[in-house]
Amino acid sequence: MSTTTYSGSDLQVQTHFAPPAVLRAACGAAAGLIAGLLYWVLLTSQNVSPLMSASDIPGDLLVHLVLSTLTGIIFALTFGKLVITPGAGIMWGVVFGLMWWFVGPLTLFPIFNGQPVTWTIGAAQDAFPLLTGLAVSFGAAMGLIYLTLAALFAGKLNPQNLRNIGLTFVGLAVSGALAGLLGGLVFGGWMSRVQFFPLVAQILQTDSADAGYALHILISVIIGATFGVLFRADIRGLGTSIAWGFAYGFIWWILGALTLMPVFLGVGVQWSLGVAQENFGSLVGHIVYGLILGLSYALIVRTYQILFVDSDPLNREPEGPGTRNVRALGLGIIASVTGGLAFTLVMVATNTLPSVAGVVGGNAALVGFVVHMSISAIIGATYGLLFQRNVHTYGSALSWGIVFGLVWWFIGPLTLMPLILSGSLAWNLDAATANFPSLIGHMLYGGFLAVTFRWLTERFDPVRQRALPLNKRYQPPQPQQQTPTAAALWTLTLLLSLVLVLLLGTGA
Amino acid sequence: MTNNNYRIRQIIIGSIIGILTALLSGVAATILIGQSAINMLGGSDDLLIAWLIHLVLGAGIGATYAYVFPTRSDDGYAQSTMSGLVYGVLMWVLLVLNLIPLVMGRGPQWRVEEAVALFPALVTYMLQGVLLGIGCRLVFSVTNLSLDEIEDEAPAPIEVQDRIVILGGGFAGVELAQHLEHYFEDHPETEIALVSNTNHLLFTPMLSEVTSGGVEERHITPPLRTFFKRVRVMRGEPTAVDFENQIVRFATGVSTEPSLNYTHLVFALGSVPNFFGNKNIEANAFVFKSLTDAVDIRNHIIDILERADTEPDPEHRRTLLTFVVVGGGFAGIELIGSLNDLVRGSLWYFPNIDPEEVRLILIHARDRVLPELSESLGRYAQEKMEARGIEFILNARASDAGPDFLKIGEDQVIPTRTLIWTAGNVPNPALQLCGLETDKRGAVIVDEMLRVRGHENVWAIGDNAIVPDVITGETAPPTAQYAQREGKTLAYNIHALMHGQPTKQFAHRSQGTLAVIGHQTAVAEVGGFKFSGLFAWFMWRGIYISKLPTMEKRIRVLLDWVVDVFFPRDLASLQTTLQPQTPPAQPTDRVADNQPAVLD
Repeated sequence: MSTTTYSGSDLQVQTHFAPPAVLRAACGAAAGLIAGLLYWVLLTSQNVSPLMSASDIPGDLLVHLVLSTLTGIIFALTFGKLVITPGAGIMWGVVFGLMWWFVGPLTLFPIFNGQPVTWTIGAAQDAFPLLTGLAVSFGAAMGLIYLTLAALFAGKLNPQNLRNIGLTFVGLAVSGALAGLLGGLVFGGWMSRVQFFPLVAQILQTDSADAGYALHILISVIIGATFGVLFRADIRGLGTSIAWGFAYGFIWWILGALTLMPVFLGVGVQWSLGVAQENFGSLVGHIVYGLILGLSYALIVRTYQILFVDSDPLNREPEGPGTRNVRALGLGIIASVTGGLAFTLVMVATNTLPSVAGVVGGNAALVGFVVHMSISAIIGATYGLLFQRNVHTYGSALSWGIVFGLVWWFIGPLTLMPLILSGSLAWNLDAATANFPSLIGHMLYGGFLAVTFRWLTERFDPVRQRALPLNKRYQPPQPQQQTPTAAALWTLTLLLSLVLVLLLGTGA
Repeated sequence: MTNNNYRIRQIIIGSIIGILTALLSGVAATILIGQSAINMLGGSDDLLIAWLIHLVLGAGIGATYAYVFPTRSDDGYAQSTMSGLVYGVLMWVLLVLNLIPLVMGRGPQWRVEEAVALFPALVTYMLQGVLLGIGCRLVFSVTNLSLDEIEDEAPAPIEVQDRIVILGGGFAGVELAQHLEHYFEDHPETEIALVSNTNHLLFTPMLSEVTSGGVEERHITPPLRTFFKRVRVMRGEPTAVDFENQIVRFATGVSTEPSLNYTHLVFALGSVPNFFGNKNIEANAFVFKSLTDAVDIRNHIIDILERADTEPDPEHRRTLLTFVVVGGGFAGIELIGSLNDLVRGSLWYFPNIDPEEVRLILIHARDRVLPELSESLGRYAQEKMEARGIEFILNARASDAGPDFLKIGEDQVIPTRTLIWTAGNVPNPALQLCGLETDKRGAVIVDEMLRVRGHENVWAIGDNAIVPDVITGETAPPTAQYAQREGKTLAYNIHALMHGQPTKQFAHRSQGTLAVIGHQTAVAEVGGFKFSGLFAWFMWRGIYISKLPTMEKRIRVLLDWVVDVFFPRDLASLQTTLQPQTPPAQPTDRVADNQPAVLD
C-alpha cells in the first residue's frame, strides 16, 4: 500500500492509496448495492423501471440489486485504483454510469426484454430517465460510497487523518464558497430575468423573490464549498479547473434542478425528458455557474499559494513565468488561425458570418469573418495561457482543446453573443438546437487549435529539451501532472454536451 | 529505440488494431442493428464498399489514435478506455458528420436532425473507440511501446562528430550561432561552440543611454548562456590556431590552456579602438566600446560634477567642466548627445556650477559629422546639437593628450579632464596571432561566400572582416545590421556545405540608419526617406527595442524609459573612493614626443 502526497496547498492532502483487489471488489459490491438501491427508489418513484421492463414484477428488484452489485464490482476492479480522491470518485462514477447506460439500457436491456436494439435517438430518449439516474444517483453515489468504504477499510479514516482532513477542508471550503458566490451572482442574473426566484422561494413556503434570491445564493455558496472540498486534490491548473467546474455544474443540474428541488417542492423526482427539456435554461445556467466556480476557485487557491505559501527557490524554473506566458499567449494566437479557419467552414455553410458581424454593428460576411477570427485569436490566446502545461501529448492537447471549444459554445453563442446582440441570454432549447452546427464548429475549432498549439510548442517539450546535449541538468517547465481523472473529465464534458443536446434538441 | 522508430512502430500497430476494432464494432452493429449500420458508417449504399471504407477509416483512426494518445506503462486500462471513447466521439464528428458526407457528394451533416439520424454511428464509434483504447493499451504494454520506454530512457550520450567553433560573441557571432542552432536542430552530433571574451551580448546601440543613465547597464546585456538551447558557450580569447590540424587554442584563465578541434572555424572577433599609435592619447582617453567603458565614463562624469561643485579655483573648475569627445561618427554623436543631457540636466543639483562654465566639445576630422547619413541630416544634427550647447571643431585632428588637456593640430590646446575617444576602430589584434591574410588595417579578407581566402573551412564575418557585398559591389560597412546579415548568410552556407548543397553569396541592402542626437531627438534615413526630430526619435526607440534580444530585456528597457519620463536622472556614482587630485599640467611639456594621430 503506497501513500503519495499532492502538495501545493497550505496543508497536504493525503490521497493516494491502492487497496488490494479483494478489498476493492468487496467495497465495490457494497457501494454498487447501496447506490443501486438509491437508484431504484428514485427511479421507481417516477414509475420507471431500472430494467426497462414493462411488467412490474417483484423479482425485478432482486435482479436489479444483483446487477448493481456486479456492476459495483466491475467498477471497483476497473476504475477502483483511480478513485483516490472524492473528485475522482464522483467523476469516474458518473462516467461509469454513462457507459453503463449505453451498455445496459441501450443495448442489453432491450435484448433481455425481447426488443430490437436500435441505438437510435428515439431509443435513447426513451431511456433518458435512466441516463440521469445512472449518472448521478447510481454513478456518482457509487463512486463516493466506494471511496469512503475503501478508505475506511484501508485505515485512512483514523482520527488523526480525519482531524487533518477536517482542518484542510475549512480553508478549501471557504475558497470554494467564495468562488460559488461569484458563480451564483452570475447565474442569479438569468434566474431573475426568467422570474425563477419565486419558484425557488416556494421551498421556504413563500413566493418572495428576495427570499428565493437569498436561498439561491446560499445554495451557490454551499455548492461552491463542496466543490472546494471534493476537488481540491484533482485541480491542478486554471484551464483544467474550468472543466471540473463544467462537470460539477452539470451534476448539480441533475441533482438540484431535476432531483432535490422537485422533491422539496413536493412533486417528487423529475427525470423525464420533458421536464429536462423544460429545464434546459437551467442546465446552461448550471454549466456557466460551474465554469465561473471552477475558474474562480483555482484563482483563489493560486492567489493564496502565492501570498502565503513559501516559494521554492531551488526548483525555480529557469524560464520565468513572463517568458513562458507571453510565449503561450503568442503561440495560442497563431494556433487559433487553423481553428478559426476550420470553424469558418461551418459558418460559411450555415451563413452565420453576417450575424457575427452584428457584434460590431455590421452585417457583411467579411466583417463577420474578421470579427470571428479576432475572437478566435483571443480564445486561442486564453487556451495557450490556461492549458500550456497540459499539452504534453497530442492526445491531451486535443482533448482539452475540444473541451475548451465546448465550453466556449456555452459562453459564446448561447450567452455572450445574444447578450451583445439583443441584450438577453439564449439559454433555451430552440437556440441550442439552432446553434448545433456551431457546437460542431466549436469542437472542430478546439481540436484544430489544440493540435496546432501542440505542434508549435513541441520544440519546448520537456522530453525533447532533456535530450539536448547541453541540457543534461536543465529542467524545463514540467507538464502539469495529469490527474488520472482527466480522461474521465474529457469523456464527461464531451459526451454530455453532444449527447444531451441531441437528446433534448429533437424533442423541442 | 529512437524516437522515430518508436513512433513508426506505434503507428503501424495502431493501424492494425484500428482495423480489428473497426471489424469488431462493425460486426456488433450489424448483429444488433442490421447492415444499415455499415451503410451509415461507410457512407455508401453498396455494402462491400461501405465495409471497405469503414475498415480503411478504422486503420486511420487506429494509427492517429496511437500517435496522439501514446500510453504510459502506468496508465490504467480505464484511462485508455476513456481516451479511446473521447477519440471515437471526435472521429464521429470529423468523419461521419463531415468527411464521409463531403466525399460522397453530400454536404456536411451539421444540423441537429442530420446528426440525430447518424446517432447509431455515434454509438458504434464509441464502441470502436473503447475497443481501440483497450487494444492499444494491451498491445503497447506487451510490446514495450509505452511512452515512458523512450521518455524515461536516459538520453544516449551524443558523440560529437563535427564542431563549428565561433570566435566572438558580438552581433555577428551570436546571430550566426542562433541560426546554426536552428539549422542543426536535428543534428545534436554537430556541436556549436561560441567563444567570447564577455559572457553577454552587448547591445551597442543603447550604450550611450547607459552613460547618460537612461537605461540600466544590465538591461542591454543579455547573457549568452540564456540565449541558446544547445550552443556551448565558453568565455575566453583565442591565442593560436593550428589550421593544419584544425585546432584552436584559448586563454580562459584556467590552469591549462583549453583547445578545441573544429570542422569549421569562424572569426567574428569584432574590433578594438584605434589610436593610430598615439600612446599619450591612448593613456589619457576613455574609450567607448564595452559596457565597462560606458559605466566608467558615467562614474567619471558624475565624479567630475561633484568635484567641480566644490572646486574654488575658476580655471581648474573650467578644466573639470570641459568634456571632449573625439570622433563624429555614430558612437561619438550619440555619446556626446547623451552626455550633454546628463551634464546639463544635472546642473540643478549642483548649485555652485555656473552653466556657462560647462563645455561639451566634439572634434571631428572631416567637414561634417555623421558621414554615414546624408549631408542634410548631418547638418541638421550639428545645428540641433549646437543649439543645445555642444561645440563642434571640424576638420581637426587630435595630436596629443595628457591628464588635463587635449592638443589639436599643432597649437590648439583644450584644458580638460574628460577625453573620450571614438575616432577609429581596428580589427581585433587577436587575428594577427592566427596568421591570416589581412588588409592594411588588419581585417581578414573573405570571398563572397564569407570564406577566408586560402582556407576551405575558415570563415570571417563582422567588423574583423573585409566583406564584399554583391549588391553594392562595395565592402559591407562595419555595422550591427550588416554583421547580423553576414551571420545569417554564413549559417546557411556552413549548413549547405555540410549537406552537399550550394552555398550563396552575401548580399544585403541597408534597411536604414538611425542615430539619437539628444533628448527626444534623432535623425533617421530609412528606405531612402529622411526623418528627424521627435518622430525619428520614436522610430529609433521602436526599432531598437524590437531588435533588443530577449523579451525580458525589452521589458526592462521599456520600464527604464517609462521611469525616465516621470523621475529625474539617477546621479549615484558607483565610484566609492575619491580620485586623487592631479595638479594642472603644462600642456607644452608633453606634446613634443608624440606624433599627430590620424583620423579615418
